[in-house]
Amino acid sequence: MAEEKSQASSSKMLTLKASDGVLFEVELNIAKEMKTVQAYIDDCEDIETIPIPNVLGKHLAIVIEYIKKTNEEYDAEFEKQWNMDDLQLLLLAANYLNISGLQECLCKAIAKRIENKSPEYVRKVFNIENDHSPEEEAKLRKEYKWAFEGVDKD
Amino acid sequence: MVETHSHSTTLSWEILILIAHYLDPKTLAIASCVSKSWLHSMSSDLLWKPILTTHFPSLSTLPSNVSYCRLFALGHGAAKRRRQTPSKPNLSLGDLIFAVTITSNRDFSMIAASLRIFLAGVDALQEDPPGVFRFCIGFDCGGGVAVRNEGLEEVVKVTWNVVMKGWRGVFTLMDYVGKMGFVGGGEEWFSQELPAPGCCSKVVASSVVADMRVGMCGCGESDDGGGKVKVGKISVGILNVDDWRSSSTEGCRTIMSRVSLSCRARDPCSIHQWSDTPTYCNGRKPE
Repeated sequence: MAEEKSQASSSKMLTLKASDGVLFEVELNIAKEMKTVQAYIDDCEDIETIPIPNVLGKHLAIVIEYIKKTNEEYDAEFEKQWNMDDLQLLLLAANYLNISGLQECLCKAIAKRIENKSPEYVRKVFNIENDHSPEEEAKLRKEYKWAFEGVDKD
Repeated sequence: MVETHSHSTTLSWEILILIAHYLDPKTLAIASCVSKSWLHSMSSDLLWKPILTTHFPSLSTLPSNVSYCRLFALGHGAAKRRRQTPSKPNLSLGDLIFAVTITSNRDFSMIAASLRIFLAGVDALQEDPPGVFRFCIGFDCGGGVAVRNEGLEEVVKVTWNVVMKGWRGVFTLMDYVGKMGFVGGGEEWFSQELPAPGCCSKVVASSVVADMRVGMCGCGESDDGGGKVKVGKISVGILNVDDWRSSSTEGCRTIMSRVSLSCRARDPCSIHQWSDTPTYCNGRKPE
């Protein structure tokens, strides 16, 4: 009986509802890769639709696809398709859903994209305002002079 | 995607915290310059401690109240200096004047003095075999050279200074007191170890000596029938006492480097720039 039940549950389907209302039907074992979802299921076994309020449908789709396809090769090519905005949102999604493999992959990708870039470039990428005074900025640049050597031109 | 940008500040804050651990030291340091909040988080000891421990473990074990980020910068600077090859001195012989004097150590009267001025690009090497760092400083037999009776032995002070044209710097290659015998046709020889460059000169011997040869020549008779002798010619050179040879490249390099050092503030780290391994030198001294 237990065996049958476990067989049934492995093909059991779950529905995930993205923040914009888009619904995704996924197999339980896929959903379980998202530790946040796993916790949800542990709490209430009979649940069939789980709300994912922080993640847009477009990104949830990407996340689900990642879980299904992840391997070394796939991971290497994965991040290249997405622009910086999407990468950041995907990272937040992976963080919220607690998918460690995807989170690591995205962190590395974002870090790589700002590697050896100037502060101006980084500000633009993350849309940050520079709140240093010119004196403070000059002082910082002097202190971190060693890091500015060989920095990519914007 | 308007909604993305309206949340952009909180967006980047969370991202920041997540990616900070994946940044290499350089990027982390640059990121500190982005804004005040980034400065606060990117320079945190929590982030820099593992980086410091990986790259400069010896610095991370020191008790200090200096931030780990600062310690990393210090370690990075030290590693860079160690890798640097010394810059070639941008001097040529044409920039220099050799000033040689021999004075009596008793009454400081001048026995012989001469200058050797080099012409840029022209003066290289001298009558000794090519490739040898030796320069002749002649005298005309007119005034300026003291005369002594044949056979006299006198304690003298010999100096050899290298002066940069325009008085930009002076370096003393030789400042030595020794005995000189006045024998017509004879040759006197003085040598003095050059101090090792850098801050360890009192501790470490260098393998380079400054060398001066003084040729005596007779010049007439004295009242009592004995001969009179004076300095006829002087030659100076730089010798490496490991093989007692004077090579032009080494000699030039020695002089140029020391003269340019005398023009600039001394950097204690310069000892690492010399490729000579200092060895103890048993310099030959005249009796």
